[in-house]
This record gives sequence, structure tokens and C-alpha cells, in this order.
Amino acid sequence: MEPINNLPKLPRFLFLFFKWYCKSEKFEELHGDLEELYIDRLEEIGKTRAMFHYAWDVMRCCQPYAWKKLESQINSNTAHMLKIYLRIAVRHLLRKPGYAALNIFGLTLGIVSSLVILLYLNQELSFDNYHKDVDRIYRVSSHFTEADGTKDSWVTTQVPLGPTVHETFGEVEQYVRFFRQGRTRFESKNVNYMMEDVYLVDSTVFDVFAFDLIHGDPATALIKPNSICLSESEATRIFKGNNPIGEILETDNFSFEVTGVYKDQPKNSHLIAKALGSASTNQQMYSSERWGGFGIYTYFKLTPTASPQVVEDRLNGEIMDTYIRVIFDRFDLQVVYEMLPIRDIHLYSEFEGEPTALGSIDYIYIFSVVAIFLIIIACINYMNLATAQSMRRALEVGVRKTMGAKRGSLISQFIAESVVIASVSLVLSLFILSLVVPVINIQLGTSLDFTQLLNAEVILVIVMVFVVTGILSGSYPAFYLSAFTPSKALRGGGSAKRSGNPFLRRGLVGLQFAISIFMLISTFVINDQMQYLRNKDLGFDKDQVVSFNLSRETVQQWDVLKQRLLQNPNISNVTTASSIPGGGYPNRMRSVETNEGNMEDLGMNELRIDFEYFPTLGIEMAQGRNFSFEYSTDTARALIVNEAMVRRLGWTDPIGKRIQFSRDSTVFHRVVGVAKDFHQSSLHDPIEPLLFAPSLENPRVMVKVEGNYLETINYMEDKWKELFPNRPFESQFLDQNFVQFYEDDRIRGNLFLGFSIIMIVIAALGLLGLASFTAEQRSKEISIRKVLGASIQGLVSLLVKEFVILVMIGAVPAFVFAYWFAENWLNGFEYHVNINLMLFALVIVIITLVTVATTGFHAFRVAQANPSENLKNE
Amino acid sequence: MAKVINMGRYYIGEFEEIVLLISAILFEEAYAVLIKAEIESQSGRKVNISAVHKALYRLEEKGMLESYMSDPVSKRGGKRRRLFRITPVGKKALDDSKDLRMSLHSQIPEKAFQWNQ
Repeated sequence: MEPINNLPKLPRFLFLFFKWYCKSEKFEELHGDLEELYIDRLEEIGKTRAMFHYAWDVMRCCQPYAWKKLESQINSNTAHMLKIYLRIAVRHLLRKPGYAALNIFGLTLGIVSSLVILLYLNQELSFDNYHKDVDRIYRVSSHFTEADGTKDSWVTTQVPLGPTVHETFGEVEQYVRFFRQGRTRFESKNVNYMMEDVYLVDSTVFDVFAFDLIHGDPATALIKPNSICLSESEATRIFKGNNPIGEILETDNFSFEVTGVYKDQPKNSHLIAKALGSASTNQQMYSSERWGGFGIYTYFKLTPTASPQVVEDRLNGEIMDTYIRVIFDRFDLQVVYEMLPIRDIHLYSEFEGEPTALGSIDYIYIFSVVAIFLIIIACINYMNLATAQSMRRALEVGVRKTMGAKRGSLISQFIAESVVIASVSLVLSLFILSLVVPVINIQLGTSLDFTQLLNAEVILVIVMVFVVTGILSGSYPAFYLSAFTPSKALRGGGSAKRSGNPFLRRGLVGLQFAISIFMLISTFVINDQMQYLRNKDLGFDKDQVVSFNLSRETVQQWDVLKQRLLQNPNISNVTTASSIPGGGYPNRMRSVETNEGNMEDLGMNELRIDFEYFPTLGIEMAQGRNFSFEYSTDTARALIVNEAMVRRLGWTDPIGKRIQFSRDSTVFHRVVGVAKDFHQSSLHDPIEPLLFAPSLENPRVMVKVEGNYLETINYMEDKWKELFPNRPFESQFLDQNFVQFYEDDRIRGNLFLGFSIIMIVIAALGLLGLASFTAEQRSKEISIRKVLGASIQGLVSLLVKEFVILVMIGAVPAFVFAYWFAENWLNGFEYHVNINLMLFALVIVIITLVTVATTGFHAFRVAQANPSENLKNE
Repeated sequence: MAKVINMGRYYIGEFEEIVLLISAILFEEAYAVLIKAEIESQSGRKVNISAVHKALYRLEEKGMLESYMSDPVSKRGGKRRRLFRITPVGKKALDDSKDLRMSLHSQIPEKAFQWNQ
């Protein structure tokens, strides 16, 4: 007999589901068939698609021929009753299809949206959790405090830190360093490939990070200098499916031999590398003993028994004393290391220089709350609709009770009904979800993965949601309805007053309004802020500026290229700098003259620019002048600072202040001008103090273009090709770079907008049902009023008024919370709009209009009806 | 549970007929996955495994197929297959169906197929 455990790795959830519904005597043959199909497909169409087919088959096979007989499982009487409950529940729903549809639709909307949020949260919370021994992996980052109290926090550390600590600390099992190379040009067989996110790493990388090598041996792949491992997608891009091992890739500086290919990293990684070169390739950098420069990422894997606190203390103790104080004490600069668990980086890091965009734990909380709101609103709907229907069921309850039904069995019956509705909604939701997730990903720029729903935790949450919506929302109507006394229930009629606790129901509706108002206001505030970010004057002219890069070689020919570019009448200005606005800049220790005339050592954010920088970007001088060739000493001695720097240093008269590039240097640079502040980086951050040093050879080019873009860019490319026929010309608009800063904000804004619309739709659906019910309930009253001369408007407003009052009551807490939330959120931006109170009024108007429209429709119908129709039975 | 079975004639649907025919063709090897593959390759239409299952069990219920379990198969983790075999009743149903078709076919007047006159 073959062992049974050589099962293919099938999603456990589906397997259990199959086992659950399938008769045990048929399980062997049926599941065997599915397994066989799966294995056949595995070879034919790959794992993912085979799994989807398997999932589909499991669903399809869920048919009577495979089902267990309920009786064989449970006590036959209970099973029989359960069947009857379900049957009655289904019949009730079918008898009132409109009502059932309303309920199911509302609940489905709620569940789909909260599952979307769940997927999003699941993705955000799962960052980097796929590494082996993930709990033992830490990244070291550095905090700095300068003499004047300026604080900085960087993710980077020094080159010798990793090896030194690994050698001396018993607690550190392994270390790995990432030397960021950024965008790199690779040449293979005379074809150029540009690649982002290239790193040089220690050969130990595979001991710490979970890179899954498809080709190559992790133990040896990155030991030799000039070795490189590529991600699968890059390997395919360059080598078109041929085995890349042993192929040669040339860069500007090195020549690499491909020694490995690894699977593309999961999207939930804080560091994504397209290629990993061996760090030993760059011998000079690799073996550097400089403890003064912070520029690389260092990760430690601790031993299973080590305490991270102890390691951190030792870092800030002995390492600091031996290597770092000796350098920085004389600058009065304090360095403190922090070890951040790798799993916390994505949500908790507040360091600068992260390799990828981060999430934020605040948003995790916010979206969790939104998901809970959505479920609450959907549940309230169900409760309201179910209790409102109670009068119709009173007769049934009366008869059942008279026939001897116990309260318990009535409760089970009503809960069965809500469970049926919840189940239908759940199945529908999963189906809808599989369809909408790709659409959401495209529309909102997210990268959600539907298959994540098959995770155990996620399934647990779904089951919980199911229990909450099904049983909790079913329990109120169940307990309420089952409490009818048969005599009253059977008497029927005239019992409008007892159709559920009106206060509770109104309270629930009020809560729905409050939540909707809160969401809508928040959405408007977010949109307002996004608009502001898009349109805010950044202090420089980011439009119509095209940028491209120069390499170490191409920069030699820059003067020639510059002259050729300027010949085009559409190009008015060109400039080069060490980085473009939106890019980073180094922080270097400089000796700076204080307002009192002493020299003090301070870290300065430094940009290197040529003389055309300010005119090209349209930045004006607040004081003094720009660099100029008229002054022969400018290239060697002049400096410009921005207004923020003047404020930081407290200079009253900045022009002529002295700065030494190192304390021992005999050269004094002098400030010749103060540039007006502009936003070098995103509006999340304040304007940083900047120092501009003149330099005529810089890696980034910015070209101010007027008139026809396309033609001009083509012209630029032509000129580039004349000089550098073998190098690709890649340009981008400066404002593209800025859009990226707000990409995450934009996604969240879109999600918020979507969810608040859905909430309002759900709430409106509930309102529609409730309004039709109250209008019907009061139809006799309305008819009598009408006979006595009430106008239709009067009657409609009578019915609508009730709900509008609820809107107003709900608005009060909503305003308070919305204001509080908006203020907190906006404070996360250094530059933000003020909360516009008109928005609050606008939201009230919108919600009131929706309310009037939904409730007024039924009110109008009842008010218009012929009184004799409603009164003839009395 | 009372099942209404038409005892007078051996009535089967079109898909059931195909399943029955293929089960007969695959003699001794007829089980769901292979039948599904055979249907797909012979008729070119895609069918879900559950449809094949359903048809097989119904045909068994109607007495047109009988079944027994195979030896354990390693490909499916040591699980056994349910193999189907056509019964005389099944053969009768196929014959009836074929005869009916043939007889109907032969009754079509020749003119019915002449369009261009």
C-alpha cells in the first residue's frame, strides 16, 4: 500500500471543505479524481492555475451526489428540525424576494468591502514575514544628535560595523550588508539594459534573507568577486529564457558573471532587489575601515537565545566607545544605534533613506476601523429590516407557540434565517471579490492578491465576520420576535406600536447616519488635502522640466552636449546638480561660523549645483546673488544657503559668513547668497536647511523646455545619440518624481472615497426598507389625516421628518470625531489645508438629500394612495 | 425516498449517452478522470469533472452501469478508483437509442436535403 501522505500540496482550506461536504464512502474515489486532475494540470498549466482549477472543481463537485446525509451525522431529530428551519427560512426569503435581495445586497456590499480591507491589511501586516527565523533578524539604524540639537535618523550604518560585530559578539549568528547601487546600466552582448534597485551584498545574504535560488548554489554564489545573482524576471528580460548561468554582464564600473537566479521577491518585502552582486567586487568599499561614513544597510541575525536588547546595549556601549566616539566626539555629535526587527520595518520605521515606500501603522488602525464600520452598518441594516418585518411574522409566531413551540426553537429558527442570508452573502461576496480585486488593483494602484484569502488567519477572520453578521444581527430579531405572547400576536392588527423597540431602531439608524457622515467628511478632507498637494506652489518651477542622468563617462562630454542642446530655441535653460528636487542629498560635517563669529561643527545637507540651477528652476534669491562667472573665486570659494538654513543657524547677516569644509582646511568658503525656500522633498516634510556648493560636473541634468515637448525631447535624444551612440537616453519629467511622493496618499484617498460611497449606499438601502415599512405601518393614520384634509406635502414631510431628525442627531458625534480625525491626519503633513467647515455643512446636505430621496419615495406613495383603500377594512 | 424511474423505456439524456458509450469503449479502465479526458478529446467540448460524476452515478442508479473499486493507485496518493462497466440494461439503452435514431433517419424524405431546387 502506498503511503497516503504523498498528497500534492493543495490549499488546506479547500481540502477540508471538500472533506466536510463529501460522503466518507465516496471521498476516496472523488478526491482521488480531483488530485489526479490537479497533478495532470500541474505539468500542463502551472501551479497557480492548477490550484484555481482545483478550487473550481471543489466548488463544482459540491452537489447532492457527493453530499453527506445529514441524518448520519447528527441526531436524526435535530437534523430534521435543522432542515425544516432552513427550508422555512428559504421559503420566507423567497416569498419576499425584494426584501431578501435588499438584505443580501446590503450585506454583500459590506462583506466585500471589508474583505478588500482585510486583504489590504493582511498584505501590510505580512511584510517580510517570509524569511526563515524572521524573529531573529534585525536591521541596525542610526540616530544622530548634533551640537545645536538638530536630530536625524538614518537607516544606514558604516561599512565595518557588520563584520566587526559578527566577530566580537557571540550573540550575532550572521550579518549581511547591502550596498545600494541604484539604477545601473548592464550590457550583455552589446545590448544595454537599465536596472533599478541593484545591490552589492555579502555572500552571507542567503543565510539571513529568504532569497529562493532557482539556479546556483546559495553557499557559493556570491563569494567570488564579480559574481551576480539576478531576479527571475530580470534574468528572463535579459536572457530571454536561456540559462543565464555563466553569462557576462558589464556595467560602467565592473564586469559580472551570472552565478545565480532567484525567484522574484514577494511584494511584501521592505527591500526589493532586482540584482545582487557580490560585495567583494568592489574591494575598496568592501574592506573599508572607515567608521565615519554612514551609507549601507546592515542586518543581523541573532542566535536563538540572544536578547536584542543586550546586543543593542553592546552596540551603543563597546562599539560606540571603541570606534565611533573617537571620530564624532570632537564634533559634539552623538550617535545612537537602534535595532529594528525586520518585520517592523514596513510599518514602524521612522528612519530616512528606506529602500522602498513604507506603510504606516496608523493607517492599519484607520482601515480596521473602517472595516468594522462597514460591518456594523450592514448588520444594523439587517436588524432593522428584520425587526421591521416582525409584524408579518407575528401571526406565524403566535400559531407556532400555540402549537407548542418553545422559545428556544423559535430563536433557532430566526437565527437560521439570518444565517441563510449571511451564507448567501458570503458566497456571493467571495465570488464578487474574485472579480473586483483585479479591477481594484488597476484602478487604485494597489497590489492585492485574492489568493491571500486562503490563508488560515484570513479564513479565521472571515468565519468571525460570518458569525458576527449571521448570528449577532440575527439574534436581536430572534429574541424580540420569539417573545411575543401568542394571544396578542394572534389578535393581530392595530399593533403598530409594538413593532420592535422604536428607540433601539432609531438609535441604530442614528448610528448609521453618524458613521456615514463621519466617513464622508473624512473623505472630503482627504480629497481637499490631495488637491492642495497637487497644486501647491513648491517654490520652484517643476513643470516643463525634463531631467536625465549623466554617468561618470558621459559627464566628460557635458559641455559639448550642453551647447548643442541650447541651440534649440525651445530649450531656454539647462543645469546640472548632484540631485534633482525630490531626490536625496548627503549630510556632511562642516565647520560653520555662528552668528557670534565662532566656528562650530555641524552636519549640513549639501547639494552640488552648477551656476544655472536657480534660474532653470525659477528660484529667486532672497538676499545676495547667484553663483557667477564674473567672480573668478566663485567656483572655489562661494556658497549659497536657503532661508531654512539661515533660520537654523540663527544668522542675522548671512552674506559673507564663513564655512570650512573640514576643520583643518585653510580654505574658507563664504556665503554669497540666500535662495528662497523651496520644497526639495515631499510636503509631508518641512523644508530642510540646505547648503549649495558650486560644481561644474554633476550627475543629474535638468532641461527647461518650452513649446512642443515631444519634438524637443526627440531633439535631445538625437543630440545624445550623436555623442553617445551606445547609451540609452532616458528622460523623465520632474513632476513625475513628485507624484510618487503622494502615491500612497492617493491610493488611501481613493480607498476612502470608495468605502464611504459604499457605506452610504448600504445605509440608504436600509433606509429604503425601513421607510417602506414605517410608511406602511402608518398607512391608516395617513389615510385618516388625508380624509381630514391634510395635504400630500404635509404627509410626506411628516414621514420624512422622523428620519431627518435622526440625521441631525447622528451628525453631532460624527462632527466631533470627524474634526478630531481630520486634524490629526492633517498634522501628519508639514503643509496642509485648514479644515473647511463648509465641508461639514455640505455633508449634512448630501446625507439629508439621500435620506429625503429614499424615505420620501415611499412616503409619497402612501400619501397618494386612496384613503378608502386603506380604511375599508375597519 | 421514492425515485421515479421510467421503466417502460430506457430513457437517457444526450450527455449520459456519451458517458455511457465512452464507459463502454474504455472497458475495464473507465473511471471519471479518463472518461472526462476522452469526452474532451473525442467531442472537443470542455466538461467539468462534476458533470461526469453526476452522470456516472445516475447511470449506476438506473442500472445501466455497475461499478467496483480498483487497486490503490500511487498517482492519487494511494487512493482507489471507482471503475465502471456497462450492464446489459445499459447496452439495451444504447441499442434503443441507436435504433430510434436510425429509424428516424431513414424516414427523412430525400427532398428534405435538397435545398437548391
